[in-house]
Amino acid sequence: MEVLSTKAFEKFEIKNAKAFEQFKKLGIPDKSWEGWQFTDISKKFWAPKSLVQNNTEQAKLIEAPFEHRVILNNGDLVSSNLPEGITLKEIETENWDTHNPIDTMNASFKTKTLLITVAKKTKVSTPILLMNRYTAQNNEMALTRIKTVVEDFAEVNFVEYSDGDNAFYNCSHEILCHDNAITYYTQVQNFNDEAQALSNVNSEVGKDAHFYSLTINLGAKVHRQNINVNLNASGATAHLDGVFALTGSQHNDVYTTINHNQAHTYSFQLYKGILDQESRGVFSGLIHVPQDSQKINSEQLSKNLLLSKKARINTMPTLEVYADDVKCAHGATVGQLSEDEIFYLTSRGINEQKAKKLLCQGFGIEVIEKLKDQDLRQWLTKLLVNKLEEQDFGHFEET
Amino acid sequence: MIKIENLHAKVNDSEILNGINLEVKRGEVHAIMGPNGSGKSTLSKVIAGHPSYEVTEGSVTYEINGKGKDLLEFEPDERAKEGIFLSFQYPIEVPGVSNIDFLRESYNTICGHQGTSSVDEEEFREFLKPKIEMLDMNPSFLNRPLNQGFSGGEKKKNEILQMAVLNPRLALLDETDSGLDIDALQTVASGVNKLRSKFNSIVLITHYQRLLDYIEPDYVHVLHKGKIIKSGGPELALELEDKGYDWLIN
Repeated sequence: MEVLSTKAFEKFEIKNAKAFEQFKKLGIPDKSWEGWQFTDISKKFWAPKSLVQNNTEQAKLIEAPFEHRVILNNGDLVSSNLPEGITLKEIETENWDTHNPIDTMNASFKTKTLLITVAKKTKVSTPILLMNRYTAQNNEMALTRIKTVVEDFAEVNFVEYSDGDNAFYNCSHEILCHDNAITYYTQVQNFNDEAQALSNVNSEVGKDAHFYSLTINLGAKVHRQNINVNLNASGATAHLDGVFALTGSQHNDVYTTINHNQAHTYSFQLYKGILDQESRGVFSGLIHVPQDSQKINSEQLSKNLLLSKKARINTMPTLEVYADDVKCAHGATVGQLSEDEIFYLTSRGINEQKAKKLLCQGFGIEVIEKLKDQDLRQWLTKLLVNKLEEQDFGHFEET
Repeated sequence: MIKIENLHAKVNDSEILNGINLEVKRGEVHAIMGPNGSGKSTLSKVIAGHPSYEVTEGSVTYEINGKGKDLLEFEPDERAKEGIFLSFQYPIEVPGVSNIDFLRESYNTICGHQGTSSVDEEEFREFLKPKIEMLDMNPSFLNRPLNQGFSGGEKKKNEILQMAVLNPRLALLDETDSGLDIDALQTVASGVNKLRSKFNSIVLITHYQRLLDYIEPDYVHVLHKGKIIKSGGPELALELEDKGYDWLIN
């Protein structure tokens, strides 16, 4: 296996020389980078072997109770069934975050961007599934690039589900939430245990618009996710929630940045980690409030459950507040299952393993239960429960 | 039903039980009273198998299929499957697990062990209906997360609902009366009385005589410093109500 470096990508067909030059200049983040100190990408990740060939073979679909769906295969559009007012096309990749190593890497090789437009005043509250599946194998690199534009006064509820085998994934999202729009965007990442995944979300939120992001991270050997939100006009609100359930030696690092670029903007974050065996989790969140952004309300909470002695969590809030009339609250908890909780369930005939799983489920589900759509809540709960069941969350070393 | 001999137990190196002797026969109701910190709750937790308590001496023999078994060898879930039920003084809140799913899981596990076939949700709701009515509970409680946001009284009712569902052979009711207003106390007590039969036994743990006005025990025991210092009939409880514990302790 070759270590991850920008040089390792030179052997691939570079599709966007400008982006690649920027990527090379930035380099692969190491621990000296602000915001990357808990995950040394250059050591945690191996270089991808080659770019995935987009063959006609299609990965299998997960069962999901949603009528409206968009199906991608290795990041390319296969088919779609969308309600009126929502359109889809593949466009040339035109912009990317030039200071972001994940996004410049993505743009270097992904020339097509899937553009989803939700027309002005379109309201679709039932979930729309974005099935993002891959056939990549053996550390091939596969990329997805999606740009979602939710126009003024529109409301939409996207659920993106990504899965694939032992490959190298880079998924990049741009989500524009225009004035008075409401965007729900749930991302479920359920790659297999050997996968390496990088993911980036850039979101711009307009006047009185709401952006709800829920991330559910279940799979992958290593996963780094960046979520950057710009709150650009008064009333702009972001809700970022997430849960990760890790086992084995999985490593999951979530880094959120919220820029309160104007006064009267709001952000709320709740991230929950369930960590078993030798897994490692990181949650860091930067909240930036410049001097003129008064009357801000910002809350950030990271709650974690450690199920084994060897599991580790790093959680770190960073506040950069230059305004003086703001409300910013942040907190973090790290705990274990209590003997009293386990005993309560076992005293009702439920065996210890099952009792622990039920308690973990109860812990993790909090962020899912906030969703309005019942089908979606049930579907996501099932995915989380399956992870807790199948991945043998439950050998539960003595703590 | 259960025979406790010279039982000693400790938690975090402090001795709580110092030689308990108690026999409860089938069909009997025993009340255990005593001042705060006398070991009443510990006794119930040791019988139900709480892992924080270590038994250092003595034995607990429990009758299973007519044979006396060493209860201390059983895990808590195995004890539940053999018909032991503990109503908690402070029931635990479990977010994300609905009350009905939890009850059905528990019912199917325990009754499955005892040879009954599993029930689906619809059948189970029918089965629960009269029990919910008996306890004057709002059926919407079934769909809420287990004990989460329940008031003190609602939690206690939910414990007795579990007892009614699981139909235990030996029920240990730890301070079931605490946190209940007088109407709720009567409802809960009449629920317990309906579950009382010549086939099962009940151990009531309480501070006060009040509960015993509604559920009349066959025997009353006074626990102090981890030992039973006095046993008698229901009249003992009345005497305690009148005189307090001091005359026994000093």
